[in-house]
Amino acid sequence: MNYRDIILTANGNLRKSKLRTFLTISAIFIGAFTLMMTSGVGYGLRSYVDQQVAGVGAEDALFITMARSQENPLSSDVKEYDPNKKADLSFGQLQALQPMDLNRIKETEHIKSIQPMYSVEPLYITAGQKKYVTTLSQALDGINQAMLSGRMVNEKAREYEVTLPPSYVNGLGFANEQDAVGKKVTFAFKNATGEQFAKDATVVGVQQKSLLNANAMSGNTAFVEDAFNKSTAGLPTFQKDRYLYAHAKFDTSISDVQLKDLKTKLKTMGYDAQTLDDQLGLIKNVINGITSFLTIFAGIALLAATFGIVNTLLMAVQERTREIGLMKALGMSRHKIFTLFSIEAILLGFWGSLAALIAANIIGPIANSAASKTIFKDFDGLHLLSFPAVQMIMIMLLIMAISFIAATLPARRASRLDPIEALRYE
Amino acid sequence: MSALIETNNLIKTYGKGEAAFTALKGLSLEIKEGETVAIVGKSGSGKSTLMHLLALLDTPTTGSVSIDGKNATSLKRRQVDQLRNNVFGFVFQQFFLNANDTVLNNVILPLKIAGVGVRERNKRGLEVLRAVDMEDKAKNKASDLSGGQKQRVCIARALINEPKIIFADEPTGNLDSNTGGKIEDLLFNLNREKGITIIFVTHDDELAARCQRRIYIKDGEIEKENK
Repeated sequence: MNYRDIILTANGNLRKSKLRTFLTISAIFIGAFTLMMTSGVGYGLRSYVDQQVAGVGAEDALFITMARSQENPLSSDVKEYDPNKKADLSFGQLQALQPMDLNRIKETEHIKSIQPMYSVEPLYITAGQKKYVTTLSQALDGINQAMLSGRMVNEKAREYEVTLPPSYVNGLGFANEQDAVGKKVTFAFKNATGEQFAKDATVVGVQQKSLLNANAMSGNTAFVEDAFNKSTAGLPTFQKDRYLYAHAKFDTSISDVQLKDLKTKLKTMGYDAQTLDDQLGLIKNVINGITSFLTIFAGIALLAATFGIVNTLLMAVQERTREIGLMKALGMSRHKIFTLFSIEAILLGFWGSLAALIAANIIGPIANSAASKTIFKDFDGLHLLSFPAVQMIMIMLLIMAISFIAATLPARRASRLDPIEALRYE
Repeated sequence: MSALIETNNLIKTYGKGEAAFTALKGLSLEIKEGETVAIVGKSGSGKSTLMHLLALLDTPTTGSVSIDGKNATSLKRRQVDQLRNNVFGFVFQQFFLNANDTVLNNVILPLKIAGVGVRERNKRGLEVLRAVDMEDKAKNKASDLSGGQKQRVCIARALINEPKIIFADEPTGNLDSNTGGKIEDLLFNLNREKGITIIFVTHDDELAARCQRRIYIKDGEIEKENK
C-alpha cells in the first residue's frame, strides 16, 4: 500500500465511526486548545515586555544595591556585637550604599562611572490647585523614555525639569498633554526635622505609560539631588549619604563572560549588580512561572486525551480484527499495518489540533479586545494572546507526535495479529 | 507439468509438552500447475491447517513448502507477504468483504495493498467484476448483496492480481445448492480458461467429485488420494 492510500484509508476508517472519532478529537481539541492558549498568553506577555524594553537603551547600565543579606530573618541565633561592622542603615531588608561603596565600585575594572540614585519622597505635587500624592524618580542618563508630548528631561541641565505620567495631566489642571509642557509644578517635601519645603520644576514632557516607570514622575538629577540634599540637611553625614540604588555604567565593549565576571566580582565585594535585562528577567521569570504552571494543566488534559487515543484505537483494532486479518492474508506487511494505525492516530491529533488552532484564532482576538477594555486597560499595546505561526505549528507537530506514541500499543497489536486467528469463523 | 506446490514431510504441532497437539503428522504432497485439487476431511482432521501452510499463512513446525520450486519456509516475511499478494487468491466461506465499502473497493484491495495506482486498479477491478458478471454492482455497498453475489465479488477479488493459485475454503458452504453450483461453475471455468490452479478445502463430496484430484485427510495424515 502506498502512503497516499494509507492516509486516505486511515482517514476513511476514522470517518466510518463518526461518533467515536468526534469524541476522541474533542479530547485532543481540549488539550491542544489549552496548550495553545497557554503558549499564547506566555508569548503575548513576553512580547509585551520586550516591546516595553525595546528602545529604552541603557545597554551599559548596571543597577547596584547592597547584596541582600543571606541571613534567615526567622533565625533565632543571637549574634555578638562587632564594632568594626558597618552601621546598619537599611531600607527595610536592604542595606544602604554609602559614598565609600560608590568609590570602591568606581575603581572596579570595566566600570566607567557611577552615580547614586537619590531617594526622595515628595509629600504631594500641585500646579496651584489640588494636591496629589506622588512618587518621584530620578531620570537616568542614557535611558530612553517614550513621550506623549514634549521631551525627556535634560540630565545635564541645572534647571529643574520633570516629566509627568499621563494620569496626572487632567488632575493638575492641564487641558491635554501638549498644554502641560512648559508649565510649572510644585513638589512639597519634608526635611529631617519635619519641616516642609517646596520646590518648583518645569514640566518638559508627558511620558508614555510603560512597565518601567509605572506611575512615577521623572525628574532630572539636578532637581532630585537638590531635593534630596535639602530634605536630608542637618543629618550627620553617615546618615545623610545613603542610597538604595546606584546607577553605574560599564564598558559595553566587554564580552558577556566578562560582564558576568564583573557581576560576580561585585557580588564578592558585597553588591548586587543587575543590567536592565536582568531586572526584566525577573518579570519574565514570573511570566514563565505562570505559563509553565498553566502548561502543566494543558499537559494533564493532553495526557487524558492520549489515553482516549489509545482506547479508541484499541477498540478499532478489536472491531476491525477481521479486516486486518484479511489485509494480512492478502499480503499487507506488518510494517504497513502498523503504519496504517499510526497514521489514524496522527490524523486524530492533526484534526484535533487543527480545530484547536482555528478556535484559538477565533477566540484569541475576542479575548484580547475584551481584556484590553477591562482588566488590562492600563497596559497599552498588550496583546494578551498571541499565536505566532511557528509556535502553533510546533504545538500541532507535538500533538501529532504524542498521538503517534499513543498509537504504538494498538498499532503493534494490530500488526502482530495472526490472520488465521482473525479469520477464524466462530 | 512441474510441481507448483510441493510439501516435504510437513509436521505442525500446537502447544508444548503434555498439552502438545500434532495437527499434521509428516505430510508430503505435490500439486501441479493447472490442477484442481480438493482437500477433503472432517473438521479437526487437519485440512485447514494444511491449507494455512500451503497458503503460507502459517509456518510448519518441521518440513517445508515450496512454491514454484522455491522453498517458501526460508523466505523473509516480507517476501512471503509479496508472494501471497502476487501469486495467491483467496475465496472464503464467510466472504470477508468490508460491509461498508463499495463492491469495487472490496475487489481492488489486493492491488491497493500491492501499491497499484488508483486508475489502474479501478480499471482492473471493473474487468474482474465483468468476468464474474457483477460489473453493474460495482458502486453498491457490499452489505447490499446476496450470498451468491458476495461470493462472486470474493472471487473477483481473488482474481484481480491474476494469481497462479486460488485457495477456496468451503466456497459454497454458506450458499444454497443452486447458487453454490453456479459459483463452482465459475471457479472451474477459471481453471479451464485461465489455467489457474485451484485448491478447494471442503467436506462437500459433490464439489470434491468435480476436482481432478481429491486428497482425503484424516488425523493429520493423508488417508487416501483419488484421481
